[in-house]
Amino acid sequence: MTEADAMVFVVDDDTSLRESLKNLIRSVGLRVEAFASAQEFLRSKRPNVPSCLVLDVRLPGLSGLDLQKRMAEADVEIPIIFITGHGDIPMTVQAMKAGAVEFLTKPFRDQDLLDSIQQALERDRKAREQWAEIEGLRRRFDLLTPREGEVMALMVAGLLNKQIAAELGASETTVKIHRHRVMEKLGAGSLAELVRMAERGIPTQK
Amino acid sequence: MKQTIDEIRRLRGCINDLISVQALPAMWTGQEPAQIVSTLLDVLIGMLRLDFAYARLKDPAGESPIELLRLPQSRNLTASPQDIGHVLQPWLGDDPQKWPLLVRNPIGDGDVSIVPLRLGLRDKIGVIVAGSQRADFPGETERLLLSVAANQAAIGLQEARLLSEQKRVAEELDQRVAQRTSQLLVANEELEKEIAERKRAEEKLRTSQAFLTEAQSISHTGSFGWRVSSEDIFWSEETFRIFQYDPTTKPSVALVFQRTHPDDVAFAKQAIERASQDEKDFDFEHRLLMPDGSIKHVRVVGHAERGQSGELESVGAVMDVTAAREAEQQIRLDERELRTTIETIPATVLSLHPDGSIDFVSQSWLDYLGLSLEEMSGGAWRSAIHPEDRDQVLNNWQVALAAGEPFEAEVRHRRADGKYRWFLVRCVPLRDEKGNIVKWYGTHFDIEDRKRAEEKLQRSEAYLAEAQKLTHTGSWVQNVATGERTHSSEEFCRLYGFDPERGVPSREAFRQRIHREDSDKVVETYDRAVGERTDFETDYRIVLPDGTIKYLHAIGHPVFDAAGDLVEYIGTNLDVTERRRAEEKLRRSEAYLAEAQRLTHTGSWAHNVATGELTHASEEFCRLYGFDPDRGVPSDREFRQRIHQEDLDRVEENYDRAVGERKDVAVDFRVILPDGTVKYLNAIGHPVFNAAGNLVEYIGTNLDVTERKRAEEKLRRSEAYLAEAQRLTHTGSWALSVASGEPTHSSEEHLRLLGFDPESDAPSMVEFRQRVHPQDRDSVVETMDRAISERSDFEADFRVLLPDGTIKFLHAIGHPVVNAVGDLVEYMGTSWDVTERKQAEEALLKAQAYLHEAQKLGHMGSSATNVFSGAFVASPELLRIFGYDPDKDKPTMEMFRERVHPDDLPSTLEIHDKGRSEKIAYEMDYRIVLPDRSIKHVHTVTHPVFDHSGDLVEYIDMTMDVTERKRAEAALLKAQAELAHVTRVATLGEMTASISHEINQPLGAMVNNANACLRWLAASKLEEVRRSAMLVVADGHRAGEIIARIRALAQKAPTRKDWFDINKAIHEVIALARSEVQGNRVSLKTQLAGDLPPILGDRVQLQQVLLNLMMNAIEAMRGVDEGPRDLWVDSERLESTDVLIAVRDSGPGLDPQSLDRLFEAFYTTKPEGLGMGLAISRSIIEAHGGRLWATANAPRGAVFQFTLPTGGEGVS
Repeated sequence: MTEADAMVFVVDDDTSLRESLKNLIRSVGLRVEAFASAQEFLRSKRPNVPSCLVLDVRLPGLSGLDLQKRMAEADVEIPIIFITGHGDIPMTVQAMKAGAVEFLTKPFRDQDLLDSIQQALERDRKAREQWAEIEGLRRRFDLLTPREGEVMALMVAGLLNKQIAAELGASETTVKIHRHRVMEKLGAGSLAELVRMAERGIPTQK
Repeated sequence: MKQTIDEIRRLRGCINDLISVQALPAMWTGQEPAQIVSTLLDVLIGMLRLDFAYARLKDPAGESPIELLRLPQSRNLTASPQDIGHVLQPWLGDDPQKWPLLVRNPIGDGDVSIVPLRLGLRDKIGVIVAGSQRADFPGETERLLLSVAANQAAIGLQEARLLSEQKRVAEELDQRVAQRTSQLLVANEELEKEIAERKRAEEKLRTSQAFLTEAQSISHTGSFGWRVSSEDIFWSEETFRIFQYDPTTKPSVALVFQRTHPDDVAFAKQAIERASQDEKDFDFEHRLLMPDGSIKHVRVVGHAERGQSGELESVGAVMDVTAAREAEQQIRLDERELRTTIETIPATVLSLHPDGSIDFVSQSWLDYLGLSLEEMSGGAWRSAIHPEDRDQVLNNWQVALAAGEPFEAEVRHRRADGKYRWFLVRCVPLRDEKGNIVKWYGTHFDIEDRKRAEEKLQRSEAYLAEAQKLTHTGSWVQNVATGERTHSSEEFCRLYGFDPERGVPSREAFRQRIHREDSDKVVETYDRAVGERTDFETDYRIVLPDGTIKYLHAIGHPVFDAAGDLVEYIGTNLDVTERRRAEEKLRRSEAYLAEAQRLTHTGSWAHNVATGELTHASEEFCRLYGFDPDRGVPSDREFRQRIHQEDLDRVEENYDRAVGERKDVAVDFRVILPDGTVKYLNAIGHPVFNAAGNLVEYIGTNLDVTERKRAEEKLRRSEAYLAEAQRLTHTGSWALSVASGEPTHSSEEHLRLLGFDPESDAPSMVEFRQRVHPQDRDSVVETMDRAISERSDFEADFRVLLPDGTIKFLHAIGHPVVNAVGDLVEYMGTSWDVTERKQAEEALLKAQAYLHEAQKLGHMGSSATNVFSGAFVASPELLRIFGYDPDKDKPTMEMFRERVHPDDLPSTLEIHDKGRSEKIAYEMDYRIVLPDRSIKHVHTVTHPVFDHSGDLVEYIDMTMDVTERKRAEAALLKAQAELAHVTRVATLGEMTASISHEINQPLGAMVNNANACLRWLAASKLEEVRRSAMLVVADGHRAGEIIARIRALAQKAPTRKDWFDINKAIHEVIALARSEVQGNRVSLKTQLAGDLPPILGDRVQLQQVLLNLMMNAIEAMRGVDEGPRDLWVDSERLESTDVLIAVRDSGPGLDPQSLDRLFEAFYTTKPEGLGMGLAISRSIIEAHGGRLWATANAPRGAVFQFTLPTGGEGVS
């Protein structure tokens, strides 16, 4: 991973701690941006690269946990690493359940933090890749005509051509033509592939 | 997806760049070409990430071109633009189609793509070269950008050139204009000079014209100018006047002849014609006939000539010679008259040559003398003079002849028959123009008869003068017509104080001597008499030079001539001064008498016994009775009417008896005046007998004694008042004769004081002494005896023992009385009852004793200083406080001052002086040192005392021994400080968790930074290593500070007051409590005023208060789940110089029931609480001079506020 490819966000209201975190993260060659409050972070423009967020639980105004909730509501899927001066078990559990990558209590070992960061970035990267794939698929699917879509849905359901034809009230030949088009547009090599694609989350029409 | 976004972003970037480039010309306005290009090169480098940018600009003046080279920031310039230009030269001017050109990098290694850009058509302006090592340079968009930039540059440069051209032209124009303007100024000046010259010349001409006109006017000469052919005539002002024409009329020949006398017209015309023909000068005279008929003679003088034009012109003057002419005529007439007169005079006339020889003698003289002319010429006439007169006359004649002076003499000449007769001889010289004597003319007048008459007159005059002298009568004669006094006798002169020997003074001199007040009367009288042609008589005064006044009595009598006309007045003046003076004296003494009577209200009267009527009643007598003094003597009946009815009988009785006994009478009675006034009169009468011894009349005086009667009444009354006053004030007066040693007078009250009967007489000395209290008797006697022997005043206090046993205190004052000779005659004085006063004095003494006792018990001393006398008194307790013995030591101010502690002495003196100068009350605390070295604390309050008129009378001090109190106070403070400390520690204990968190922050940061440091070191990034190490240091310091603050709070330091900034202290507390704040999810907001003055106080203690309040607030809000947990800390400045700190929370608020118990010690709502926090906080604030209180917050919660007094000015 190169610098240009990732970003670490830090949100902590204690100036010296914030600076020290920035220093630490940069020392391993990562890009880092730091904020003193959750609101500042929300307002900022985030670059479209794999990122993660190092977040203090105790913040003035919007707390760390609240921020986690807000991000979830807004579909901002940046992985979060919580840091805190005092952590209690309920807090930890809540944070992890809500999808945090890690929950570290101060003082923490620097290596622990760095490892968590790498973990989080990896997660984010994977997530982006997957999403990109799905996006690609979706785009391809949009190319289908409605009829072709109907045909595809029935294909995936395992119906034979003539069953499909009977279902749709069209001739088999027509169905064959549609089928061919579907396979071509979606770039599926085999029916099995098509089924896999569909399973990936393409909505089935009915 | 990503590529598209990148693409879009890139394109957007390009568009931005384009826009920027397009905007460049706006930036360039007014700049120099080199600047413009330089800017552009920089922009291009930045925009396109070039490795270099070069430009060459052609100089329009044909000089060497300007070359510029710009590199990106990170590069150092090693080559000069000229070198680069030289290197690039081969490629410049290439066909743009061949872009990009790949050439060797002129400033580095490797190849570089260059793009040359032309500026202007055919590189008219110059060329720009952009170079980059990038492989993809130049891209499409970049190419586009470059061309746009080049165009813009070209445009900009072109504009710049045009602008500089414009500027040059404008400058030239300004120069030309300035030149022109200065030229014009010079011309203007010269013109002005010329005009001034001309004005001066005109002025001169005007002046001389005025002189000429004036001269002509004075000499009655007018000038004229005449052009014959055209008949144009010019006349000067005077000419108009001479001819009596209005100056506005146009002069013409016709006008001239209009005025010319008809008889002279022909002559004048002729003269003028001849003059014109001959072109000669002319000079002739003729008359003018004026419209009013008067005649003027004029002399016309002039000069005719042909002018330059060939025209005949004449110029001349017209002179009014009327006066001269008339004079001549007059002379001729006179001569004729004279000749006639001479021929008719019968007197003898002779004329002599200048040497005195005879020239002509009239026949009558020759006849008289009986001589012939030859004999006369021979000098025979000399012998005709009377021998007695001869020498003198001949002598005088010689003198006159020699001097050329007129000669006059009275001489006796012998007649042919031998008789001498008196003649009056007069000889007068005739001189020519040069003044030389031409002839002597003489006459002889026969004055023989006259001489005789004169002698007679002289004689009678002498008699008259003698008579006048004897009778002091002066006579005079005054001619009515001329008003001249033709005669004033010697005595008349003497009357007026003139010396007749010196000559008769002028009428004016006489008139001057008449008294100013009488001169009008004199003149009037005379004038009236003259007018009525009657005699007159008048009296008047004259004032002589030495101031003497004389009274004159003048009588005048008119004298008429044959025709009956009034010729003159003759009269006499008589000196009546003596008589007048006598009259005056009499009048004056009569006036004095009347005045004296008036002043003394004494009227005099005379009563005729026979007639029974008053024959004389003086003015004052009349006034006394209310009669009008001018009405004359009142009748007896009127007189009696005035007498008061009750007294009338008595008056008549007395008078009748006196008359009967032919004795003096004296009686008092009242009169009632018409206006109702009542007067008391005292009348005295004295009988007057005639030669025969009969009683003729009574004369006497009446005296107005009303005033006296009234005064007597007043005296009686005041005597009664005095007695009354003495009775009321228990003051008695007495007098003691020194000689007899016995009291001569004892007032009613004095008798009463001594217990005697007030109606009785003065007691004897023995009786008096008996009354004096036996114990005081001796001292009283002694005092009086001593006073008498020293002839001085005395005062004595003594008791009297009355018969009924009562004791009175008396105070007596005595004063010696001496007679005119200086002997001590008696003592007089007063005594009064001072029993009550004595009792009051005793009561006062008793009260004083109580006061001293009270002071002793309360350890309070008092003193007083009299402002005027400086007298100083001090109570016994004051002496005791200061370590003195009240029985032995007499208090003085110094005694107290010297015991004041030397350290406190200056401030006490200061307060004392200030208070005394401002005359106000003041107090002070100070220590005193006793002889045994012990120290006491005292508190003194001083208070000025004024009298009823507001003047300062004295100062009163109250001093209290407050040593015990001070000790107690000190102990209390100590206990409070200890308690405060305990509470502080307890509070700190509550905050352990927060404190440890606070310290953990910097520690954690230190660890992170140190780790980062290690990693940087591994990566050999030394700059980052340094930075990290510095961060570690800073974090370490921060941790140290926090610990120090906590330690300070935990310290048991005594109260230390210092000046500090309250806002800074607040921030420190907030930092300390931050964890608590955050741990409880409290939102802390501050609003601290910026201009707060510094506070004098114990920083730690005040921080403790604030911490306490904040912790309370946080605690209170622990239970708040819905709604915000807000905590505000504010500081602001009040209108007074105080600072207000407020801590607000949004908790449940205060229970109104417990509001007043809040600050009580040991009151708490917390189960584990001490309940000391607020009590201690309040006592800390109050010890600083402030207030701490709690109120409800809106919409909910509590507000705790405290004030602190300040130094007054804001902290900047």
